Amino acid sequence: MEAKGRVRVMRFVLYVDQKNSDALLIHRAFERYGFGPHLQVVSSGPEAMAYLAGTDKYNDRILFPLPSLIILETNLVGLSAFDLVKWIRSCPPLARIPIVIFTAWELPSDLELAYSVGANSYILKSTDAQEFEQQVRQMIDFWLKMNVTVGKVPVGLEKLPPAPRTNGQN
Amino acid sequence: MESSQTILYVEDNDGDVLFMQQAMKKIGLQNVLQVVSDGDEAIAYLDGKGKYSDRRKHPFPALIFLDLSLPVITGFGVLQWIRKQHSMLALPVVVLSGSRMEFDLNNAYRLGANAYLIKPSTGEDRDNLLGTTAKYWLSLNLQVQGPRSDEPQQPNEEDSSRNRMVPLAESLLAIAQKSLNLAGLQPSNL
Repeated sequence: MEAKGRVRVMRFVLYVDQKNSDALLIHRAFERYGFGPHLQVVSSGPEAMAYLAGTDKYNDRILFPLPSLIILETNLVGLSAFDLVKWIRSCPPLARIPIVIFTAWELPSDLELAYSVGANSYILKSTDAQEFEQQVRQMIDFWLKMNVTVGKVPVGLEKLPPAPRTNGQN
Repeated sequence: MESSQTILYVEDNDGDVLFMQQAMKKIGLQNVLQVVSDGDEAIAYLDGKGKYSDRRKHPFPALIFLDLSLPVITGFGVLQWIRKQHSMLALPVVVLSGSRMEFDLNNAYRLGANAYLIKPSTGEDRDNLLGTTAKYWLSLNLQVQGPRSDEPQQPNEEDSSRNRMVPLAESLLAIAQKSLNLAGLQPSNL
């Protein structure tokens, strides 16, 4: 009732995971919760950077809008999830986007590292499909429906800091 | 799993405290709510100082709801203090504010707030917002052990989190090497 007449801003999620099967699971969970069109998926750190910087094939912000939430798996190739978080936090236009680490790996040192580089939340992926879907719903409920982020994002992102070096070997 | 469920609410408005109590009651968490009414007291609570030294009566929280406009030390001051304590690096702090101002949002995130919520005006929205938030941070988000009362607190170190980065990266590398070995792979370029 309260929201009547108010324009609801479409909010997007960028999901970064190299594992195709998890990307499919998360996509299905978004679809089944009515949030399918809100999800964008990329499969590596460098690709996430290209998306966020709006370069290469991602240079259309209407097709590839800046997200209100970034969900990261820690098991990435090319660029570690933690370096990616550091890079995002060093880019003024991106620095305040909430980042959730959503990972199958339970390492106490990862948890501390994630927070020390600036992640907002850390969730262990459930291996149970139903629970996994429930986790995704809880994330959508909290981050897309309730949490408020810094709204005004400048359009020109040309002056982003240089990319961290990728080691390519991993 | 349920290491700690304590929620610390830092709020000077009695009405808002009442709303919080109602919302927590709806999800069965009314007994875990601790309330302090200014920034100074919030820091004393977290530090386990003075009347908060008994951790059985005042357990270290697993979640903080923080108002921004507080007497003595503001919510920003509390945030800043929390993020300087290395042991509280992973303590979730959710700002609960009436302000939608870009300045407040920006500063809250910059100083290390995990999330930012606007206080809703209607009762039903409020219960849903607070209940969902509490459940997200207490059961979905992975918790770390807070500082124990019998352990001496680390003195305020400047940028203690940054100093920890190198050993953390090293231990991470060690773990990566170990798992490669386990997988029977030759760690050629680590």
